[in-house]
Amino acid sequence: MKRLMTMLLSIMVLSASSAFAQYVVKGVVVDAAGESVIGAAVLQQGTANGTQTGLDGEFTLTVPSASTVLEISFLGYQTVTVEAGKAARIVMQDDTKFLDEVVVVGYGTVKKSDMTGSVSAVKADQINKGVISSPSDLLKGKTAGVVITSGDGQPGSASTIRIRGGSSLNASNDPLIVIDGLPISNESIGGVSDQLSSINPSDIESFTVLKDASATAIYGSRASNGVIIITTKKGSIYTDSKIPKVSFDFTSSLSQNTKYVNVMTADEIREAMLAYAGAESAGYAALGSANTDWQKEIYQLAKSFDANLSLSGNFKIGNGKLPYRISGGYLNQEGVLKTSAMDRGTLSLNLNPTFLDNHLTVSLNGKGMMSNNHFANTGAIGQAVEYDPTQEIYDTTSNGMDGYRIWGTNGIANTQSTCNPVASLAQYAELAVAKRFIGNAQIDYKIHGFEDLRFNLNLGIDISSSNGTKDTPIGCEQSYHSQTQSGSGYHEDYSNFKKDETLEAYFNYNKTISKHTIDAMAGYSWQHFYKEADWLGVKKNTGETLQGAPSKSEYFLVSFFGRINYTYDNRYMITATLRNDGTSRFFNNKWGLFPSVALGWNIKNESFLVDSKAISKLKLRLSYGQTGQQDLNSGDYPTLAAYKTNLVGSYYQFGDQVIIPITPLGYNADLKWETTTTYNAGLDFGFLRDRITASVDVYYRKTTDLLNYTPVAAGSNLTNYLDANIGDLENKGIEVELNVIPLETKDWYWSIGFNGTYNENKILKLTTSDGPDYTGVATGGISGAVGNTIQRYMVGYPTNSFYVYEQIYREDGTPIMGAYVDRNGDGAITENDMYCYKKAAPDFTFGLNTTLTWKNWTLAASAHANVGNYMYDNMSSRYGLMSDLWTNNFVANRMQNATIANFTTAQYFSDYYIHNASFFKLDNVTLGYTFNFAKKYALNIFATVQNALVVTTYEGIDPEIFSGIDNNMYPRPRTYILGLKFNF
Amino acid sequence: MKKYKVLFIAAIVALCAGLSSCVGDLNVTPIDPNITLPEDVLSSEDAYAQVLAKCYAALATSSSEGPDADPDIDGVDGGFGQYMRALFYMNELPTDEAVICWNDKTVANMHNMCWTSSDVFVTAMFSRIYYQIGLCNEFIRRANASGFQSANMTQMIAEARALRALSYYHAIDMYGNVPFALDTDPVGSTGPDQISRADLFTWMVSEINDFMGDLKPIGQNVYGRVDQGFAKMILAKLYLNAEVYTGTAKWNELATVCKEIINAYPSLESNYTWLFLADNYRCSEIIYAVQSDATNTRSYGTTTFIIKGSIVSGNADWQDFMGVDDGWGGLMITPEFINKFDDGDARKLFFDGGDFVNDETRHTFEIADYKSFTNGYTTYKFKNRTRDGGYGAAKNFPDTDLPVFRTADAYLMLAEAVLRGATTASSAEALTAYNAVHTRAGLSAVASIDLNDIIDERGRELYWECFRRSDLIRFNMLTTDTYIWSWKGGQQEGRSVDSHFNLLPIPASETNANSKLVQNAGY
Repeated sequence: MKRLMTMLLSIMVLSASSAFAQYVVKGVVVDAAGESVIGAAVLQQGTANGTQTGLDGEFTLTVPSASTVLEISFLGYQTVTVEAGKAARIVMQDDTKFLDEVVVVGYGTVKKSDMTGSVSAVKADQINKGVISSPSDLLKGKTAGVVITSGDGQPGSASTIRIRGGSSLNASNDPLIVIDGLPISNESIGGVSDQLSSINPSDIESFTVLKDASATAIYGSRASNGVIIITTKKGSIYTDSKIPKVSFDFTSSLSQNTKYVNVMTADEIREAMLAYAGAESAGYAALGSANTDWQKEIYQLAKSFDANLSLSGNFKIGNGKLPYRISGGYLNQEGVLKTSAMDRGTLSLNLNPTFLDNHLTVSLNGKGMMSNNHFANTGAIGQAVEYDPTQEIYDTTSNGMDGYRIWGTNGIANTQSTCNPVASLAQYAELAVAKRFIGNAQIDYKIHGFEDLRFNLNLGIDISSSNGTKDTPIGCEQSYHSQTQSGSGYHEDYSNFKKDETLEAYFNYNKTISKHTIDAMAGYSWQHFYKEADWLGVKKNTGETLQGAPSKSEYFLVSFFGRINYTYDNRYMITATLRNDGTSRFFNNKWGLFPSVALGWNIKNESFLVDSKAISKLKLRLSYGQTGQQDLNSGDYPTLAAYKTNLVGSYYQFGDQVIIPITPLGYNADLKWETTTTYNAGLDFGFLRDRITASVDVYYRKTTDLLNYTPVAAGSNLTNYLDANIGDLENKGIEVELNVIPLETKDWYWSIGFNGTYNENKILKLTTSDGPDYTGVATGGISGAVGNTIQRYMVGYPTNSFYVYEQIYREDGTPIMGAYVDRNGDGAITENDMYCYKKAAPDFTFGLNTTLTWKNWTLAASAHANVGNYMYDNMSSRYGLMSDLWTNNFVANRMQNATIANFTTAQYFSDYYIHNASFFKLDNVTLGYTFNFAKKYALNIFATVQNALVVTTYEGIDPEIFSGIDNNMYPRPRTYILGLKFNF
Repeated sequence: MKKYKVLFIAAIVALCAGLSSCVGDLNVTPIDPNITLPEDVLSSEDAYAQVLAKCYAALATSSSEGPDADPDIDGVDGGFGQYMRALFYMNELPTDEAVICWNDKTVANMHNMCWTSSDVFVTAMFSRIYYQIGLCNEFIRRANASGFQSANMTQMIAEARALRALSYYHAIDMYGNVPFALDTDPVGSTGPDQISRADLFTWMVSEINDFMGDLKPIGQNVYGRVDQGFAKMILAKLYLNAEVYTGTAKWNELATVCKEIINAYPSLESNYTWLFLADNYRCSEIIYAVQSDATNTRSYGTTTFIIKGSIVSGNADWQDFMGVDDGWGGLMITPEFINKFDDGDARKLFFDGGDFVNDETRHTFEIADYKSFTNGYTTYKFKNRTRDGGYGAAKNFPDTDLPVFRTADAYLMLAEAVLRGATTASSAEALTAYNAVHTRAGLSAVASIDLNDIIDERGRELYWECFRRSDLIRFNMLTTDTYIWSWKGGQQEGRSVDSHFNLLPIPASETNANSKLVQNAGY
């Protein structure tokens, strides 16, 4: 891998010639292990005369004489100087300083060996790339403690990212994302499903995940759920070439739906109707003679392609340098559900000039994105499940629009029936055009004459806008099914705009005096978040406009923060941070103070281990810290008394006069910061020159003053649910990361990365009194009837525990309808017999990545697994009722398993529908081959299968659903990819 | 070198100057054009009228954004949590007047009479009542403190107090000892004290008499706003059930106030069916009705729920007959209740689907399966049709207003008061009042009446107007075996249930949020 990387990185051609050339040096450069070093710079000392080593490490250079001194340098090795006459074989030694990797953390970098917090760094190069439209996919399964659940199969759908479980209940559980030093808001705007998708994954250099409070507390208010720092690729100051390095890649792919919901076929439903309703029944008479597989009709083989081009290099401007990188990407992706698609163009520019003898460094980062999102009517997914398979797609006798078959009489739609899914897709169009710009300028100035002190200023802006339209034609079936439209047809224009501004400034002081190293930082941050939205709907037949009110909102965060790192003798480290955060959201309790402290002991550097050959790394880390939360998902003014003007439909008439009412809104003037306290203990190991590295972390996190959306005492406020700081929640767990390089020779390289996490989440307190009768807050809405929920927040149980009745079964294992265990023994089955049974979140999550390289071949695979996650099979509970085969004058298809339970009355709350959904997923397998041309160019071609294999006992279409409720999910397809990557 | 230092110092100074103003940014006020601070918006009497309109609208809609978005109360589907729909669930479903065959949450427990303190519908009703009380308190609090002092303001405050009294009547009737919050309490999260049913009764009587004079006289206010007739009806309801609420009957007071109402509304509407049509705003018999309007006032509660809930979906002809474009199905009536009607009774508006259904989908009279959409007759008492055969302005949301109080109820209350011993009216007056209601339905006048006639006549006259639960309790029929109906207590033949079901429980979420509350006995 190193060889390959080195080669890909190689770009240097030092063109120079000497008029007095007399001596030709031919040599080879190797490393300590005897491997050739490719792309090392070989320079006649003090001149511009030089060359670089080729693929075999060899070089040829003409110099004045055999005693001319050559300087051989390469990133990661100590520079060697040697006389030309002795340069036949040059051995370069590892530069241990460089190997001591630098990791980007909040407001600065830290040497990996000095780190005291729980931090995982992932280089983008370590990542197998499939068709990836969002950066979050890159990180999936790569680090312990980070659970990324991709949204669904819809192009551009957003992933849910959880670091060490969720620390909040009703407030946001999303981690803070920082891109090139700019903290961005994770809030998505309408028309864009995934806020992260505006970053082109191929522009990403590395991720750093900050997990414990020692690492995150410096981001205080927004870091309760961890921080993901994304660093994009930049031009390198190590290159001196005027010729830019060019990289181009192109991938093309086909996606295919692999699993369908097991509903009855046409023949099966005929049989079932005969058995259930009888040959004389209206239901049987309503059956048609066709054999339509509706699920096959709505899905397609989806084509995609993705192309990226980047140029990077380094301009010399006087004494200064201007490294640059510019890249462009275009992605065009169809969804497997017909009519869904997206295309996206991205443009990224990084400039990193230095001035004033390297005292002033400027980093300018700009990323632009424009996308067109075609959203399909995803209601068709459920309609295809339920639609009668004995009916044709087109049936003019039913008088549906455009010849589509509809349920109804005399062309009047039966509005309680299932819409024709093919028509639902064809008669709905939604297109959102989204644009986003993220830019920041980071100015870092080393004070002249006092170089230990730096001043850093970061100015950033993040602007996004989207404009979308939705359209359904007059008289189409779905328009009749809408109560507000009644067949009117509908057109809607919507727009969203968001602007986040950031100003951050800090001083950093770094000084080493003999064995003491101190690194101190103090800074200030100001952020402004602004958003607006508007929409207007029009009934097409009458021109009547439907409610639409422009909305605007903003909030501010102001923070002061500081950090001290002290290291003694590279053995003992202490880090302390303090952040004081102010939010405009809590008018009367604006400020929250969040401290952290961490200790590190680099045991390896103790005298008894420093010479150990076997143990190459051993470090103990301990940390404690607090972070805050103010992102409570209830608007920006939750503490202010505010009045809201009603929209049409909520007007009232006084006599002949229509009055527009004004609604006083509920508010909680006492709202304050939610606080999460984290304890972390970690041990880092390295064996055999770090061929084996491992980390183990144990953590305990307790959130107090939970921002809890909870019932407020009746009569005390202007609402029945209010945000209040009530309740406690805990997460505890263990994380293990293991990286092994079992094989590393001239031709072979094999690496295995494994990570595993155990997390346990429990609600400790929910209300002020927590009486025994209180069954908690209902959550987890399910389909089938109106307003039903299947999960609870309940004291003593994990969040989103299923709240159900305990099913009683016959001897043959089939459930007895309506027979439940009388758990409280009062002789009657009431709500009081419901209990918490299992939960959606997994107990264990695992990630596995491996790469095997042999000469020019590379085989890579990545996989992830969840254990202990449970699923409510809403598909079987809502489509499992045999009595609904024929009800409300239409035929509704049923699940094949419906005949097992044979329920005639819905039993939504039976634990019969809750299943273990543990799984192992082989996310992708890639085989690649690299061609090298003329020692300078490399062409890599590869084939990938994404979503290659799923092993699970869960019978639904996908065991991986974040909410734990399986209900007409847009399926994740299997994707076959061919790609090439060209570097020169 | 020196110039850098100067530059650097200048930068620090500029930064520090910037800091103090940035901290000031944390003091925000809403910038949304639809959201304002009360002190900014309440700049005229008209603005107060808009807030008062919210107190009215909260009975009619489920949200401030039309039927589909942002419900006023949380924890329940917006349509379910609509005030009048919740009221219907509590007061009709547990009785002989209605069965619902739906599977939504615990709705089946209402008719089966096995609800618990964590029941979502019981909780929704409670939340609605106190949301309404909170709105009225907010209006009264702001209006009393405002600089505007006029007869108009005084009247508006009295109307808000009357609407608050309506909700306290619902609270005392259904929940017994309840939280007691007034406009003098601050907005916060501290739970109010619990008031005993008897003390609340006393307070309500004196409160109503206190603001009575500030309301417009009967019939003098514009349509959609309450007058003294409305306040007197609440008084009448309190007196009617005083014995249940406090142990002390108030029959004389009841007869007196009923006579005042009857005298102010000299005649009943000639045609009973007109009272429940899209143009029922024309009926002077209606003392107050919650509005519904195809454009301005829309929800999935009130008459939308009642009308659409009475039609099996997919039957275009039936929908047209009812004046709507959609049917949800689900609401049926027990055979025992229908049996109380003579064939000639104009109020007997029940059928098996009539000409709109074929034999296979025809509704059965008996309810063998209470989860079936076709077991039990349905009613067409409420329709989105006008008295001359036209339609409401649109078919998706009806124009039909939902009567809260009608004069006919006062007639029957007067009769009951006298039968139970009131001396402030004569037996002749009682019989006349009874016959006025009875004969309007096309039936012959009767020569004498007893209390059994009263409870049955109240059912026949007022069914689906949300009084049945309360009436059956007063006649000791709701939970006992004195009167049983299909699926009472969860079995088709019916059975008595424990008497604690005469009161609804204080929701468990309330007893948790407010530790001062003591749960009703039996829950």
